[in-house]
Amino acid sequence: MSDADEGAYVGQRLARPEDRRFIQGAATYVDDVALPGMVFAAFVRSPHAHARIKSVNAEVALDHPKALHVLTGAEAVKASHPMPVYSYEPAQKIEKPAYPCLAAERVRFVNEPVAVVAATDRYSADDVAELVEVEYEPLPVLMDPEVSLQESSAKLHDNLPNNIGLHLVRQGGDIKAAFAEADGVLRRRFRMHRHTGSPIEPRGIVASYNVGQNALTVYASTQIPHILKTHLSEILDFPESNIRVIAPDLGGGFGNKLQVAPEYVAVCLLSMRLGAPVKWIETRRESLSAFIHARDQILDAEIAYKKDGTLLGISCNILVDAGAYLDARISGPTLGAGLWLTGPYRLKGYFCDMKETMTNKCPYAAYRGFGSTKGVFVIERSVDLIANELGMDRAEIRRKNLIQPEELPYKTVSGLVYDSGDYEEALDRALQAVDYQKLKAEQAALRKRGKYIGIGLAMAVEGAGWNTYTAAMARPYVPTQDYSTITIRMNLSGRVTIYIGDTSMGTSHGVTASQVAADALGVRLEDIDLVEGDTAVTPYDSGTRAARFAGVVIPGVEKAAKSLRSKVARVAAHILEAAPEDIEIRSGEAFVRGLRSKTVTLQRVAQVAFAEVWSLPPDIPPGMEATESFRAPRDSICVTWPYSVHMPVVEVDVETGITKVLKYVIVHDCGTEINPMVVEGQAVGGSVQGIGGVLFEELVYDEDGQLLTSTFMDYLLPTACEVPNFDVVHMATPAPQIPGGYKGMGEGGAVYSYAAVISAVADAIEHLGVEVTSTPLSPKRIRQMMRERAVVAA
Amino acid sequence: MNRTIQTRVNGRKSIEENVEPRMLLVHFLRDRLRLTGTHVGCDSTNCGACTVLFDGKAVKSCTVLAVRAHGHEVTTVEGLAQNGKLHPLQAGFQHEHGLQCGYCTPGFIMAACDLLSRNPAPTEQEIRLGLEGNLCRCTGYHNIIKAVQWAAANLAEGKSDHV
Ligand code: FES
Ligand code: FES
Repeated sequence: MSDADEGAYVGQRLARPEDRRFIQGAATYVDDVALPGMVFAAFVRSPHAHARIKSVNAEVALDHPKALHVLTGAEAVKASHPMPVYSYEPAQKIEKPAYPCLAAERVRFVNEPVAVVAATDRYSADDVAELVEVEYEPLPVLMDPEVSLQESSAKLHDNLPNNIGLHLVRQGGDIKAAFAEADGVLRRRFRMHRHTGSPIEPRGIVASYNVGQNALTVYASTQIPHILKTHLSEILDFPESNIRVIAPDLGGGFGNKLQVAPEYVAVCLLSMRLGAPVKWIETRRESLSAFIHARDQILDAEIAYKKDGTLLGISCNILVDAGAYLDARISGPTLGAGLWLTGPYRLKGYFCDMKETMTNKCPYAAYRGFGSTKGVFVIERSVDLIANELGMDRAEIRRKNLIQPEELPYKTVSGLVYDSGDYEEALDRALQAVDYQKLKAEQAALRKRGKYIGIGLAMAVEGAGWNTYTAAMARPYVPTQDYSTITIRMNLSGRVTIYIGDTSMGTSHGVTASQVAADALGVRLEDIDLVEGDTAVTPYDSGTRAARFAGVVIPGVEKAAKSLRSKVARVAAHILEAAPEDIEIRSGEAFVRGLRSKTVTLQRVAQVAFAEVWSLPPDIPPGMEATESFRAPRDSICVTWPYSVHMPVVEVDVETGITKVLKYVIVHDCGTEINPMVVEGQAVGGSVQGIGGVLFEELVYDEDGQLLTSTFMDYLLPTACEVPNFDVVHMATPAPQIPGGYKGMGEGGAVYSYAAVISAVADAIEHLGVEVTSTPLSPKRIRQMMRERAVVAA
Repeated sequence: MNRTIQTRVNGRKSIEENVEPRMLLVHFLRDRLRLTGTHVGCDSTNCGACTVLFDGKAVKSCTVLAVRAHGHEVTTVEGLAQNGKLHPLQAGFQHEHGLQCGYCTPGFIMAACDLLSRNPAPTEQEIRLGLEGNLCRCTGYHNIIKAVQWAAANLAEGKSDHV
């Protein structure tokens, strides 16, 4: 690939140049950072789910020959402000339950940090932590989110009289009229269980305080380097200008690493005390028990419909088990569940009441899909159940209610504004790809032989890029609108560097940003580098989140690259003695249009711009750099609206309860595709998280608040043996409001796969007289359902 | 009592003094030899991010004490490319987009190395089974399987460094 014409790179299945470092073991994750004089931290954590801290004694610990320091909760609370929290509903007021970086008076979940120690090496840090003596007085434990709401229940926070952390209500259309018109109402309690993203790289930080410069440099495993910097500044009362956050290579994040981790704050405090670099790397046990939990919601829904299958309205009460504290992003997954209840369907009325209750569990927040997983589960499962009740085919009932292309842009009753696409076409293509009619016939034949296969079907419109989020995060810096600011620079050698303030967490920013910039600039892909994640050299950015890279960041890259191109053209025109508008740039050379003989290399252009500035006319500024912002459209909560239809096929063994996924079809449309291989990777990876979430993964607490699944031995992630091959069918309806037409899609498969896998299992076993309305659908749960059915039948 | 450990790592002799008996091989490689391509993802031998070749066979280096490596040979992901040429498995992972965040990748590559040395032409099912001890949270495995198939085909043809 050397002679690049305009448009040559975008749309190609290109391998990622950045892979060279990963496949050779030469990437830099946070645990690979080693600074001179670096010491190691370990946390002292609560063995109780709820207790008063009576005393913390560090004397014995400090006697350890390798101990350097012990920082207790009481000291940390004096030296820092509580962890932040805000609402995705800009108007919403939140009573902040105090969330200290280290517990000082009370612990509220098992493994909550109460002190942090520093020692000369990793192993000694663990030894020292074990020697810190903490005396507790156990308090009553609240594990059930519904019990937590009861008046007689103990209160977890003094300022939350009902244990309600957050209460949101949204409505749209005419819910009364919708229900008045109904021939039937489906009423069900849906429940999704607690599980989480569990990136294979756990959290980690190296904080390095330089006394002489009064400067704090932080290497952190985070999706939000700039936002983390802003928060650290607020929490530590430390000038933002003197903090530098570097997000090195990130070993997965999936929304979990949007967290402003209390542990990170504590490690910064420790480094400031010691005046030395301090490293902390989380263990898996800590990660599963004290990082971020997700998904866990109870959704009581009522769906009104007519007997011809027309859907009319949805009303839902959502209860979120928020755990012990409100994470900064807590309201997102709640609101997301509520907003996505309307699916890709025409509805007349909507009402949703969302409550977050406090319990003695690990705090709850974002995980890929950001709430939509639950909303999509509820509406898709309800549509299936209504179809069953009416004796309609599941595809046909959807067809009847789907929003049609000519109705777009379409504002749903919950307030989302879908932009473009053809949902019915996507449905048809999925049915065709999976060979629905033939499969149904096979299914019927197999049933007679006691073999139960199920055909899953789920579809949704996913939101990419969040407008309200930005406001909440970066207050008071930004209005309610997503944006990106990109710097792009040509170097003296003629090579180009793009500077982006977020960080790739497996999301292929290197190759995709380079493809777009190479086309816009007229340079070769191999002449572009990407610098990300370092707040000292990249423009302010709200981070890698909400699938915003393609729809929000990439247009910024394109804009900055075009702006740089016009600077290059001006200097080249000067050298070639031509008019800038006659300059063309291709494959790293500038020439006069139609006159290939009048050519100059970009290296020469850069030399003139940087080092021979005296030869430039006075109106051409020196250097070769452009910074541009792209402001996302803000007529809706999200920026772009990719969509998908997922059709997995499963076989359920009702004896063992084991579900095997045999096949998986994805039809998706994320607008103009920059790199279809990357798109497929995101769609498939996210789908497997749904397979894991529905069938295998579960965070199980006992009644005393002990987590029973705190290793990968009991928290089961899917392996290569539990997942099928995938068929991915591409559609590409450009995003009408985004230059280039890109839509994000990193939430990707996760948005749809939960509903799809649940639907597949239901299709396999519901004819046996059970009903699937909750997860997990683990072997144990399926066996239990079959047993209960036998009892009912008897 | 701390020990001196002599090993051959990636074909090179290494002598490290003063190694704690409890030090795990993975931390020895990472912290002492600064070979940070071998990763840690769990504390229960489940994730395989730490997989290296020990005398040519794949082991999870979080389950081996560093002292056990005395007098033995260890190959890590850093030792796979030869004379600037990528190993076909490395090239295969890049070619087939078999990695996203890359954290699990060195472990998968080393496990697959062992697999292909025992079974140069594995079926899809054999690849899946052979990689059962490695977890990837990003890719959904689909492209990892393709990467190993690509490597097997190219190993057979004696090709490498495709990209
Ligand atoms: S670190 Fe997970 S198996 Fe070794
Ligand atoms: S590529 Fe991220 S865990 Fe495998």
